[in-house]
Amino acid sequence: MHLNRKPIVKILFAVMALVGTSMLLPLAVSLIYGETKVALCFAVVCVPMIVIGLLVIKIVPKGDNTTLRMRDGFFIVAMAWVIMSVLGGLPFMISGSIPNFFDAFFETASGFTTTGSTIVANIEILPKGILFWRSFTHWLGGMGVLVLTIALLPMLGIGGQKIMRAETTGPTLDKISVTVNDSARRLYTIYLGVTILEIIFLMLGGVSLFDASTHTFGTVGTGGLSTYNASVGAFHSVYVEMVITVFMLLAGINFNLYHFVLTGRPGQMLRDTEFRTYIGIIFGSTAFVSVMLLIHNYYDTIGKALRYAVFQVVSIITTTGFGTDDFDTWPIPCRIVMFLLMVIGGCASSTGGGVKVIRIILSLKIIRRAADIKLRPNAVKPIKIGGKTIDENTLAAVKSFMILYALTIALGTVVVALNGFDLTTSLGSVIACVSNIGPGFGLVGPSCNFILFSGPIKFLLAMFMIAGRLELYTIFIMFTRTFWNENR
Amino acid sequence: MKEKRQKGTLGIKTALLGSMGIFIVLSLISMAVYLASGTISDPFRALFESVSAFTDTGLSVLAKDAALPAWLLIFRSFCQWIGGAMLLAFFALIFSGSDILAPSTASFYRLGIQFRASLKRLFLVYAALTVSMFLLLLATGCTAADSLCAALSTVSTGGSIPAGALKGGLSETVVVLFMILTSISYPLYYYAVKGRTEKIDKSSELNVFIGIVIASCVIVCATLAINGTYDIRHSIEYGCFQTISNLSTTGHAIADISAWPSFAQSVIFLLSFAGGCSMSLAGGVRIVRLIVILRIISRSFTVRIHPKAVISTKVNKKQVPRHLAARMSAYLMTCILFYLIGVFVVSFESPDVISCFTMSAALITSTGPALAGNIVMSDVSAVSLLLWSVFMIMGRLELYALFIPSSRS
Repeated sequence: MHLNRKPIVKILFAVMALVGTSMLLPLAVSLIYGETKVALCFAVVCVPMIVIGLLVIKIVPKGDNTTLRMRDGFFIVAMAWVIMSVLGGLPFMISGSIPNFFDAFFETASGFTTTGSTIVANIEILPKGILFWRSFTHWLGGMGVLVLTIALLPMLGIGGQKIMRAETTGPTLDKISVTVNDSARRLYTIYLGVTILEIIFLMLGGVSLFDASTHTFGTVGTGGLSTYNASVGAFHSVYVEMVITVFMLLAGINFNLYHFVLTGRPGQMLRDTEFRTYIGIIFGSTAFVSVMLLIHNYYDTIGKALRYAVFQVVSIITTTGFGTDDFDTWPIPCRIVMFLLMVIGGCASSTGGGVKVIRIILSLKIIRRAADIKLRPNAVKPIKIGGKTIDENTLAAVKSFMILYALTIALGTVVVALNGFDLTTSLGSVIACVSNIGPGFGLVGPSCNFILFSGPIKFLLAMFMIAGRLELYTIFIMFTRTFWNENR
Repeated sequence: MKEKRQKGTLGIKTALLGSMGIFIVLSLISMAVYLASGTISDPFRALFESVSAFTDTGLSVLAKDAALPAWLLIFRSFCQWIGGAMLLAFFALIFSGSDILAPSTASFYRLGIQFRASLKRLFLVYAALTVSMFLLLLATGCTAADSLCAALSTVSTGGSIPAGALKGGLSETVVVLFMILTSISYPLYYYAVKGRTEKIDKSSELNVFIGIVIASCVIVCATLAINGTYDIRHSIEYGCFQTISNLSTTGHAIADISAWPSFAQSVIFLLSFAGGCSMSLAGGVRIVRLIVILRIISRSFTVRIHPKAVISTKVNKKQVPRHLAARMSAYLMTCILFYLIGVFVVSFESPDVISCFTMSAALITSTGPALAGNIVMSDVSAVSLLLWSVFMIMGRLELYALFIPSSRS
């Protein structure tokens, strides 16, 4: 094989050790809540993972060639997410909370990809340690364990430039800094800051530390797994809903923009085209949904309609998937708006999924230009965003991404339909997984779960989550001949 | 005439506005017929019925069980046939990205003297297909009126066969056959007659189309048989009929698809997006564009690994110029956008989520009745019908109509 094996093995085992280390936190939580059996399960899983991981890193020699090529980068990222989802599921299986492999893989992939789809019907009976781990995977996945790994990469003596390319979400215009390690460090400092802030705000509203932290993990990672069957609706508190809404909205913004705010240039953030469009879409959809809810007499007061509409709109566009209300029982136009928001997703370089707002903006400009060119074939029209011309290669990449996305949803629906559930359910489950939302439509709507699918289909949906999280190409490229053929 | 030929863009725009104009005038005339005869009292409904016929969509606001007079059925099918003829004229006038790649490229490409010749060829094929289908249906025992309706409505890919018109498996086979025939590039027939088989051999689009026809029929029929939806004979009969009906975007419905296994439903649904070959009467995205777009997608994978690679796209053994390929992907994106807007527009009248998705496809691909889902046409409000008409026209004119307002010149 032509892949640069030594550094790949090192990185993958580092990821394993990292996942093992992060299990120490839920282990501690289990001990605090007196769940010794669950704590033991975590210990049985995490100790070998840490030990083996560290040993392999030590034993495998550094090798002469430490440069990573594109292929290596793709391979590492794809494998890392699959390995994480398999290993992260072990505590679920051993503790007996989710005994089936496919179910555990689905649940963990859903966590790490910050999707938030679940196969657990009654969440509230699960042990606290397990619930904590479930939410904590969101937090880890949110920023990408790999971004953390990149910060740790210097320890391994390997530069991480190539990995960033596979990992970063969507086309970006601003680079915080030249070196990857610096920007990674900065990004997760911001991430940590936002997390602590939300926990504090939630606790001010009378939420226990456990609930505050689990829901914060779900929010800032735009995951959406809750510790209650009724999701955020279980709190029955407008304050909690508003805090979560604000933080979901923050998590859906390009994290690079926070750098401007922190360095005293908030104007830069407000001028950002993607940010403005994102806010515009949220306002527009909230207004539309609340008006429709009032017209259809779904709610009797403007206050109620607004409260549920804004939470659900923000929850879906940021691809979090928390619920305070079952949007699948709303009037049909509202449901279609929700579907469209699922496709759009958050901003580039946020923790949100979907196709990203920036790609929507670019697509609309591409379509507009195509119409112009049709009528004036010789016109040369560059596409600009915020005054900067976007080069044609980026535009071509956006086009093929959008079409690939549509193809994935369409063909995915056909395959999932093999399970025999109606088309709404099949389509709903695929969009919910590929866009990393969580709840879909029909039998996988907000009040339901994904347990109904067969094992292989659950596996496929979990792979869709990972593919969606890694911008489709990273996973799909593994299945091309070009990738495996040195000569092509 | 010569001056006009030199100003290519002006020609396109004039042709576009002309086609729209003819569409509107004919629709108004046919609308007047419905209103005057008292068949439909609401002008908006009459307009929708007319546009639906001229765009070969085939959706009808008339209640299905209402016993309609024979003249009305023939009139409606005739409108669909005229709609097909208009599309052929439109093809001869304008050549989009897809059509440049058609085997006929060289002779059709420019406006001018060749326009008349090419139009004549297309019309000849169209008329020959219609007449032979009519005669074959007569031979299988259908009445003259029913045969006429079915022939006019099938060859044009309209999609409204009067209830009970088809007499058993043989006449259904005839309909299936002609749905396939009308989805093949019309210029190929001309070449076949002239004996220029090398042109046909070169058409990778035709090969892919035939491949899709066979594969999808096998998949759908097998699904129906394995699931026990029908016995084997009916699985094949209904399976093939509905599959081809959607692929050719005709939209004839002889079985209730909504009761089928969702896998078969989803396959059939996607087929109407694929549509037929370029320069045929079938709507949808068209096979040639799909081929190019799949190549573009596969190229995008290679580019991820080898950022500097230059890979050419070939169709019909000819290289597709870069700018054309780029334009085609932009076209597909326009389709997707337009389709999603359609889903939203339809949602105001739909009883469930999935019907929004199927009905929007029914309108934009001009498939019609087979994809109506759970929407009851006679209950749809007048405002929606008006909006839907716009979607049908744009879909039929390959979204060109969309481009007019965006030009400020």
